[in-house]
Amino acid sequence: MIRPEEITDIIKTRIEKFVPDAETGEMGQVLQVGNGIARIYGLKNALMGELVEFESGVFGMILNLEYQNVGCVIMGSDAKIKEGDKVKRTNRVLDVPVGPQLIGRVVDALGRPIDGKGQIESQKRRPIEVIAPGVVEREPVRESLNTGLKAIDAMIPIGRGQRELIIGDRQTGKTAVAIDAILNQKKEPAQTRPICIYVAIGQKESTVARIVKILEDNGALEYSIIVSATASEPASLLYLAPYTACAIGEEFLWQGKHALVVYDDLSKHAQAYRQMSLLLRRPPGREAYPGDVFYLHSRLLERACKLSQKNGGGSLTALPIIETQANDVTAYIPTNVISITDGQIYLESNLFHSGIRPAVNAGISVSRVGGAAQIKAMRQVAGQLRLDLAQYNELAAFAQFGSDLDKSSRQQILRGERLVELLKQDQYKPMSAAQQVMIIFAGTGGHLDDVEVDKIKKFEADFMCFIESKHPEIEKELNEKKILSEQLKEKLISAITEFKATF
Amino acid sequence: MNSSDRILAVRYARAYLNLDGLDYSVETEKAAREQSAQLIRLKKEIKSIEKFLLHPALPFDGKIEIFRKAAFGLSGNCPKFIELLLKENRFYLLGIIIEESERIIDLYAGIVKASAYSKTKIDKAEIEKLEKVLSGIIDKKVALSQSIDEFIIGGIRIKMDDLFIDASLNGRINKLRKEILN
Repeated sequence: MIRPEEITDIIKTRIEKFVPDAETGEMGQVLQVGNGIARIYGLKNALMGELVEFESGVFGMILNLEYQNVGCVIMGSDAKIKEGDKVKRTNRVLDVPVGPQLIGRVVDALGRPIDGKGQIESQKRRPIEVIAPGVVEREPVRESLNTGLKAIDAMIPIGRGQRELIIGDRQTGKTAVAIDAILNQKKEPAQTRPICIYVAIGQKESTVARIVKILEDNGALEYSIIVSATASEPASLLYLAPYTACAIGEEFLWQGKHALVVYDDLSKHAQAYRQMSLLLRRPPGREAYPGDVFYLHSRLLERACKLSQKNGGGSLTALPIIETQANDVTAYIPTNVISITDGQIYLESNLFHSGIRPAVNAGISVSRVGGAAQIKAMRQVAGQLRLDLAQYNELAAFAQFGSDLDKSSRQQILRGERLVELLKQDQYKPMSAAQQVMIIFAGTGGHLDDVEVDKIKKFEADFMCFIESKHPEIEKELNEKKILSEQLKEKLISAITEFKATF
Repeated sequence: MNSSDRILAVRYARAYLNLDGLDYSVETEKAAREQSAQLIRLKKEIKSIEKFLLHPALPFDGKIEIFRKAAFGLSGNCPKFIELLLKENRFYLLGIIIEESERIIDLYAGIVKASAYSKTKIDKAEIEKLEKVLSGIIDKKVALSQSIDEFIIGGIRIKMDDLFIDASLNGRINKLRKEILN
């Protein structure tokens, strides 16, 4: 409860600090306004990306500099802006509050809190548009960022500082993969745990509320920030939201910490930018997107990086999400983002509907830099897993004809079916790297070949409990040494045999 | 009015005055001012028949006939210019063309027009002083006109092209309000 005297004191101090000098600046006049766009006559010295203030107190950002007028997007309601209104230059570019005070909060695209938990007492602000760190400031990706999902951590590993695209049709579990990755960070030690920033671009308010609740219920909100620009907001805010999140993440990056940003999703971001560009009368190109739509995403994703030790060694990992239409990855925006990122996790609706969740298509999903970040133990088991699955997928087509297959082919199919089953994982139940290594080792080593397919899930759950209670030293050693030595392999095999006798 | 109308008006004004690339001379400025003055005069006198001239259903010939009969005593290329505007359905731009013509002539003559808003009338000596100060800021000749603004409690507010200087009491109170709220 604030006392009236305190308020009086604050006002008194502000009055004392006030310097009553004349105000100077540049002023233009609104020529036309509508659809979140305003054209302003004058302001001939205005800069690209500069903030301008309308008479009604609403801010706008300049995006078009033309002869005798400038085009700007209005960041808020345009209902109070009318023709002839005065518009002032502010001589500053858009910046947002950053810092640890934002952790656990839900903010809008301008960094203003929308979770009803009061003001954010952040002392620092960062411009939302900055040039990505250069070559000398970076170093190669070498630390892993575990998602807790077997299918991803084993076959499409993500490194800290990497940009890994999550792509797929609607309802294929793209957001679920990203949320699982955020939840899994809880297992990381607090010092190295990445701060997770989830950006909702053009999503339903209900979806954002659901995600906040999931994070809250799983204790993940204590290291997460949510930037929300929902479908009900103007296109300008949808356009700004990912840059805002990136600026928030960069603050942690330059402090030598780790950050993970999930852009959900960049298809809607591109659509918002298309809307703005068309209203600003920029010439439309392919699929009516403006010519600089590639730069829109490349300049955003280039800001994800792993900094060199000299610069603090922080990292900013980006998980952009793209929604495809009818599995078409050759559309304009998907091909653009695929070419920008360091790999993609491709989710398929066919797999999703046949019960394979996460519906990762291991054949066409890749991670170009994550391999170096993978722990050695995982690399030891994952190579065989990829090979077995590829052979299974090739033979599975033959198996459908019911034709007679030789013994080795039958064995391959048998193994493949079990591996596919093994890679299935429930939502919001991420696994540690050691647990993943142990179960994948059991699968690729052929120890599950005599377990019925529909019992694999139970086997996995019971086996984890068994290891935890009877052989905790195996998991401990894996966590510490991060390598499957011959001795550890033997221990693991004997533990599996021991467990199978009771299963 | 939209931005394309403004751009169009600038083009018509430039074509009408034809000052592009010319070196400054007093005679040329005087002639251009006379051309612009004709348009201003016409705008005032044409009020009675303006509705006819802007009517979309009336044919061009009819409009020309009305315009010629009204005989506003225009000289030089002004009548032809108005006829062109009527023919191209751009007569509605006349107001903006006048504004832009004035601006183009000022630019040609190196003059920047400024307006000073105050509660009471400012005396001539002070106006001259202000003109001198403003000239020093933009390095051009400033022609300051003054207007009375009842809402200004005290002080002065100056608008010069895009630039504004708010040294009014109103502006300072607004500034204080913003600082307290922030």
